[in-house]
Order: sequence, then C-alpha cells, then structure tokens
Amino acid sequence: MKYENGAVRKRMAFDRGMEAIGFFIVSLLILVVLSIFLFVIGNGLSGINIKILTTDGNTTSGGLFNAIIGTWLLTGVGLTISLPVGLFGAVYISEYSNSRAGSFLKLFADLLTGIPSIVLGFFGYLMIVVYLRFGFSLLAGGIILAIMMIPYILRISEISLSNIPKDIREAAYALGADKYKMILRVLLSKAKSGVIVGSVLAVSIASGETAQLLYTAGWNNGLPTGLTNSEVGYLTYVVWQGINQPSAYSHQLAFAAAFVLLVMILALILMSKYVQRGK
Amino acid sequence: MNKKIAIIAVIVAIVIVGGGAYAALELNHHSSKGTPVTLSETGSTLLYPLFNEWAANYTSAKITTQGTGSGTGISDAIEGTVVIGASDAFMTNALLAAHPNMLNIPIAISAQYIAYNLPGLSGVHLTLSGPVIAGIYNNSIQYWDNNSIKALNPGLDLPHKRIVPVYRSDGSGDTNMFTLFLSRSDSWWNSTVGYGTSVNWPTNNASHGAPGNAGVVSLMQTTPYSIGYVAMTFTSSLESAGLGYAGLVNKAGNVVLPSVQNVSYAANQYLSQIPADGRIGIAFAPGATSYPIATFEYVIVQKTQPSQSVASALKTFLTWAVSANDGSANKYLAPLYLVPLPSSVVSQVTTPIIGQITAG
Amino acid sequence: MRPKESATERIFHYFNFFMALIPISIILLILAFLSYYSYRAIIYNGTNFFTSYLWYPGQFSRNPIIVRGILVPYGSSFGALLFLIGTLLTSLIAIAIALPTSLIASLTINLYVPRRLKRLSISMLELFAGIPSVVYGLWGILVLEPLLFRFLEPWMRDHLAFIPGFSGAIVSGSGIIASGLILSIMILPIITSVVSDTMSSISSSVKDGAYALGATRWEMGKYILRQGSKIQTLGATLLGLGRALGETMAVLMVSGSVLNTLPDSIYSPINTMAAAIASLLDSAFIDPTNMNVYALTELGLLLFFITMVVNIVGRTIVGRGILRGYEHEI
Repeated sequence: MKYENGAVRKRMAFDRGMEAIGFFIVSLLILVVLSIFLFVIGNGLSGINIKILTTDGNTTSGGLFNAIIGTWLLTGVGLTISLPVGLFGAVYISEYSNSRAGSFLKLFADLLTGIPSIVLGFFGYLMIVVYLRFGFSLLAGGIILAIMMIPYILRISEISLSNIPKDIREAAYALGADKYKMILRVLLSKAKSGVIVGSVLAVSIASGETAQLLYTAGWNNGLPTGLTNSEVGYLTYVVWQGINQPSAYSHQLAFAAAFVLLVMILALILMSKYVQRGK
Repeated sequence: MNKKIAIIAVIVAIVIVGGGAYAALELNHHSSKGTPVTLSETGSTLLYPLFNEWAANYTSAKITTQGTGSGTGISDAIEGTVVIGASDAFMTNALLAAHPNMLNIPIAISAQYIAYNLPGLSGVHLTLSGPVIAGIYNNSIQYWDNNSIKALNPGLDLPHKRIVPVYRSDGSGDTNMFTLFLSRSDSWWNSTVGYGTSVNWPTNNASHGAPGNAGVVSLMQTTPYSIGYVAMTFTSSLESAGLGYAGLVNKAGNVVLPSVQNVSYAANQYLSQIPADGRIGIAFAPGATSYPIATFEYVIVQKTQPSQSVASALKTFLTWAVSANDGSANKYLAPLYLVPLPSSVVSQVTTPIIGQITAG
Repeated sequence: MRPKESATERIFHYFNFFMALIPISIILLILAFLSYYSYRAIIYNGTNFFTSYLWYPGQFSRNPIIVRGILVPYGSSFGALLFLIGTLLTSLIAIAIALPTSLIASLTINLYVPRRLKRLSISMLELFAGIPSVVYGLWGILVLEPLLFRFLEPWMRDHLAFIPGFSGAIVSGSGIIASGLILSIMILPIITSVVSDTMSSISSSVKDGAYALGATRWEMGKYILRQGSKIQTLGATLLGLGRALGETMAVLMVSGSVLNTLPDSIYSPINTMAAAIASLLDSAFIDPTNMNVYALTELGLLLFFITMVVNIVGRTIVGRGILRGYEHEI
C-alpha cells in the first residue's frame, strides 16, 4: 500500500510539473501574441479615426475605406469559391473514396499550401489577368486567394469528419437514411466546428497575404466597379507599401491598416466561437 | 434534402453566370469610346509618392498609380498593360534593342546616402571614397579602424569592430547608381563586379541583404557597425533611425556632402554629353562640388500610343510634370528630397523626347 | 446495411468527386505552367543549379550571349544551393520549435486550463494566423532581432558552442535563428487549432472514463495523443510545413537575405527560395532574354518538388514508425 501511495504521489507530482511547464509555454505564447498586438496597437491606434476609416486613400494620403471594403470583397469571393470545394472535397475523401485514393487526394491538397504566394501571384498574373483577360480585378484576386484557402478548409474539414465515430454513421443508416442525407444532415452538423475552424484559419491567412494580390488584384484608389477589369485595393497592400515609404503618414496608415486587419480577424474568430457554441 | 443541393447548385450557377455576365459587360464597357482618358502608372517605389501627389493634383486626366518596382513598371509599359512605367534606371541597350518602340524620359534626379550605424560617433560626417567602399563590400576592408578609413578621417576614434555591409536583396535602381559610382571610381570593382540593378556581390561573411530602402534602414538601425546605401528620399527615416551619413570624395578629389545644390551641380556637368535618347548615368560626375551618387529618374512609355487621345493626354501630362511651375515645383519634389531637372536638361533633352510620342 | 444508390445520391457522389479533384487539377495546371516557364532555364543551368551558390542575374548593360543554344545575359549564373539550404534549415527549425510547443499548448489548454479561460486562450493562439506576414517581419526586425542579438544569441554561443554550428561571429540579429523563430510562430496556429480541435472531440468521450480509472490529467493527455490525434497531428504538421516552406515576406525581412555567401554558423544571415523569388522577380522583368524569369520559375518548380518530397517522405517515415496500420489514413 505504501509503495502504491508513493507511485501515486510521484504521478501526481509529474502531473503538476507538466501543468507548470504547459502553463509556462501557453503564457509565453500569449505573451508573444500580446507583444505583436501591442506593437501594432502602439503604432496604429493613434492613426485610427473616423475620417481614416471612411475616406478612400492611396497609401501616401487619404484613408483606408477602399482597402477595407476591397479586403472584404476579395476574401468574400475567395471563400465563395473555396468553401464548396474544400468542404465537399473533404466529404468525398472521408466518405466516398477508399483510403489509398483519399491519401492521394490529401497529398495534393497539402502540396497546395507549399506553393509560395509570389509564385501563385505570378501564375495568376499570366493565366488569369493576361491570358483570360480578367485584368487586375476582384475575380482574379479572389480565385488566387481561393487556391490558397482550399487546402486549409479541405484538410481541417476532413480531419473533423474523420473524427466522427463510425457508430453515428451506422445509426443513421439503421434509421433508413440515404448516404447523402446522412452526410448532409448528420455528419456536416457534427463537423461544423472543424469546417468553421478551417474557414477562419483560411480567411485569416489569406487576408494577411500580399504577394499574390500584387500581381492579380492591383490597387485601386477607389472601389472596384465590377468583377473583372477593375482593380481592387486591400489592406495588406497599405501595410506593405506604407512601410516601404519614407513619410511618417504612410507609416501611420500602414500600422492603422494592420490594426484594422487584426480587429477584423479577431471579430471573425469571436463570431466563429459564438457559432460553434450554438451548435 | 434536395433543397440543400438545389441551393448549392443555384449558388454555384449564380457565381459562374454572374462572373461571365460581368466579364462580358466589362469587355463591352472597355471597348466603348468616349470615356475620359486614364493614364495608368506602375513601377518605381521611389517615384510612387511623387506620382500619388501628381495624381491628386493633376486635373486634365485621371492618373492611377501602383508602386511595384521599376522592373515591373518597365515590363508593364512594354506589354501595354499600363501607359506609364516609372523607373529608377533607364533601359539597357539590349532591352531597348528588343523593344525599340520604347522611350526613356528623364523627369527628375534622385541621389543617395552612404549611411552607417556607428555608435558613439555623432555630430560628424565620416569621409569615405569609392575605393574604400568597394574594399568594404569586397571584404578586403573588414574593420572600422582599417588604415584606409583612418587615412580619410584623421583624428576620429574609430572602433575595432567588424563592418557589416548591407545591400539591397531585391533588384533596384539604388543598387544601379551605387554600383555605377563604384565602377567609375574603382577599377577593381569595374572589372570584377560592374554595375546593374542586381550585381554579383562579392562573397563576404558579414554582409547582409534587405528588401527596399525601408528594409535597409530597419536592418541598419538594429545592426551596429553596419554600412549601406539609402535613397535620399528616405532622409526622414534615416534621421529617425539615428543613422549617420558620409561625405564622399568626388572625381575632383573634394569631400562633398549630399545636398540639392551638389546633386543639381553634378547633373549639369553632364549636360553636353546627354545623348538624344536621354540615357546616361550621372554618377561620379566631374566638377568641384558634384555629389558623386545621383541618377536621373525615368518615365518609360511607348513611342507609338494606341490612340490619339492617350498620346496627347500623355504628352500634356509629361510636359506638366517636368515644368518648374507645375509638376516639378518645390512643393512636389522638396518633401521627397528629389531634385528637379536643370532647365537646360528639360529644354534640350526631355521636351524633344516627349515630342516623339505619337498615336499609331 | 448500405442503402442502394438513388439518382440524387449518384449526383451528390459525383459532385463531391468533382470537388475533390479540383486541388489536383490546380496543382497539375501550376506544374504545367512552372515546367513550361522553366525548361529553358533547366537546360541552361544544368547541375550548376544544385551545386553552385552564386545567383547572379548577369550584366544587363552588356549584350546577351548564346550558351547551349539559349540566349542568356552576359555572365549570368543561377545556383540555388544557398536558397535550398536556407529553405530546408529554416523550415526544419520552425517545425522543431512549433510541433512540441503546439502539442504541449493544446494539451495544457484542453486538460489544465479552466473552462472559462479555454476559449479565450484558443482564440488568442488563433489570432497568430491573422497577423499579416509583413507585420511579423516588422515585429521581427524591431522587437525580436534586438533580443536575439543582445541576449539569446550571445547566450547560445557561450553555452552551446559544443554543438556544431553554434559557435561563430554574431554581427546582427537577422538570419537563420530569427527566420526559424518567425516561421515557427507563423505555423503554430495551424498545428494548434487542428490538434486542440481533435483533442476536445476525443477528450469529451474518454475523459470521464479515464478519470474514473484514476488517471492523472497528463496520463490522459498522453493517452489521447497516442490514441486519436497522431494522424491529425501529422496532417497539421505537414500543412504547417507547407506554409513554412512557401512563406515569403516575413522571412525576406528577417533573414538578412544574403546572396552569394553560405552560412558559417547558425548566427549567419540566410536566404530562402520563396524570399529569393519575391525579391528578384522585379529586376528579372528587365532581362531582355527572359532567362532570369525562367530561372526564378525553376526555383519555384524546385520548391514545389521539395514540398512534394517532404510530404511523401513525411507520410511514409512517420507512417511506418509511429502510425503502423494507419498509413492510408494520413
């Protein structure tokens, strides 16, 4: 009995040790996030005012309105294209394909993440902007963003679907449901949280990228007038271009843009948590 | 559940059909005549703030701008995806031979600092020369207290610290004017490295690259004992980063600090030699007070424009841009530390080249 | 037990199949594009591409010359060795830091952190993903690099010099360590969100049972890691690795993007393939022979193959070693 107590104590002590290490690491990470946050807020908050948020600008003067709306439009088009592809691609891999084919399809989705944004941009420029004659535009930028969003949505949705226990599928079949009904009614609602996590991650990453949009969306001092052949402004252009300008106002705009971007993504994450909680 | 499929199918259909309809409308819209002329510009990030100011104040045509880098500007102008390509360097002979329809139009002058981060040295400008800077970049001068640096700076207490040379990792007009200065002032550099927007940097274990002028300033700010070249348009960044800049030994053997007068003086020395096509490097100019690292900034356009309205709008705009009363007035150039073209260069070089623009 | 296929069922099946094929189609399209744009460079560069570390666009001010039947800029040399080493080294460091950190972070958040704080801490970590790469780069230069330069790197040199590559001159904070750290921060949210999503879906079903058997929280965590989330962790790691290999702007800013000089220690500046493509593309456009654009495309093609090899090797090795029997599910 004594021996066992010792072992228990040892296990408990080890558990507490791991708890301490874990908390240390989590706090360190949160510290890093906060540090980056404060870095952006410290440099960007002073530049935020109603006027900057509501007037158009060109990164050396004016505001961010065109860039904010442009970012929404671009990620909106990107998500409209990538969500059905990612979600139903994941359904196919998890529910229809055999494991060999599934692992093959997943490999290609993973490969998509490794294509550097600049290569995607160059590809988009030659294929979509020039060859398909879409010009620098919402659709060209949105398609290229979708290409980089698909793998995150697909892989994380697929992981989520595969986490659903087999008995749930069997139970649905036992009730006489068709396979597609089982998938749409049962599995997708169970996998909702994973799909949302994947989409939020994809949108976050996509809205933080610059290089592929430089060659596909261009830049517009106002709002785009159509899906094609009309340039679009976006926030990361302001960040990237503003930082590379000598004037203090450009730097202020750049940090203000980074700040707005962070707030937008924070809002997105909070919204997704709210939706997930409501499941 | 058929409803859900139906909804998805409808969404997909709307996206595809909507996109197609929009594309058709857009193509239609673009082919229609009578819209006001838009002069689109891409290129040099150094000229980008100037073009933004011009775009905001020029009323005779709409100007759109995008800072992409000089190479993209030249390439876009060649491809015709934009009307104006802004560039810090003129097109090389081979490139011009491949695209003979292009014009290189000088519109302003920019110059460059040799900047350094030397803790403990304040209130004085170090003196440096082309051969010494070449030695620093090719690794033959490794420490700040090297005899050849001391010889130029008698009485200064220089530390025995490893020099960290910083260059632009991206291709750049700044690299072009910096290396042209070294090529013209140092024979080893001229025969071994040469000049260009990207060069074959000598192997050096201490050297670092950084993207853009802003990248160079940030890297130097956090790297003590570094040296680098920074465009004069970045004067305020240089000052807020606490970096110093050097006086340079010019061709006449005098030590000269960068200033509007010294840069303008240097450009004037080359007046008689500027060829009709405007392409000339003005680094390491002769003359007593010439600052040795400067360059003409260029606008690259097609000689034959697609339509009469674009051609005449372009000519009007460019003439406005180089006029000392309009686009080249102090209120546009001075805040960016750009130097206006001497009036003789405008009348003898720029104006005749602008006159060559025609409609095809 | 399985119901027979109705027409709707078949349409749904094909629709999903079609969607699943889109990533492959995109990859094949990009691959075709990259091959078409790089074949001239592949002929010109030959093995020099892999054995040389000199990347030089050539002297555009002189007339192009013909080499092996191809017009190229005078003196140009396209050796990718430095970029290759840089990409592999920084991604490896990033995974080595990010993987254990996110595993411990996910376990801690799921097992130890009180329920109230759990959502908040996950949201905080997910925020990492929304920070633009340029901001990572700026933060890296102005906040991280001075810390590395003044404290961490001198400490490493003084205490870890016995490890090969850990002794050497420290001339700046930019370089291999800064790039690896920034990359690890960037891929953390990818691994963490997948692993903690998986953990919370597993732990709710096994938690009570495991506690009832008297397991400590850490033992339960180990159990979850062993049972359920190994495949998911690998999947997430490969996703993160892809991002690390392809990340451009942040690395460009903190790597000390050096050219023509191989690193001599872990404190040296470095350059990566993605960063090199981004920084060299603009001036490649003024090469009258286009060879610079082709050579950069070849760099993109090589990066693509590396991502593929790393993915395949990762799947097989880890699959054989730890995930015996799960190979096909990865």
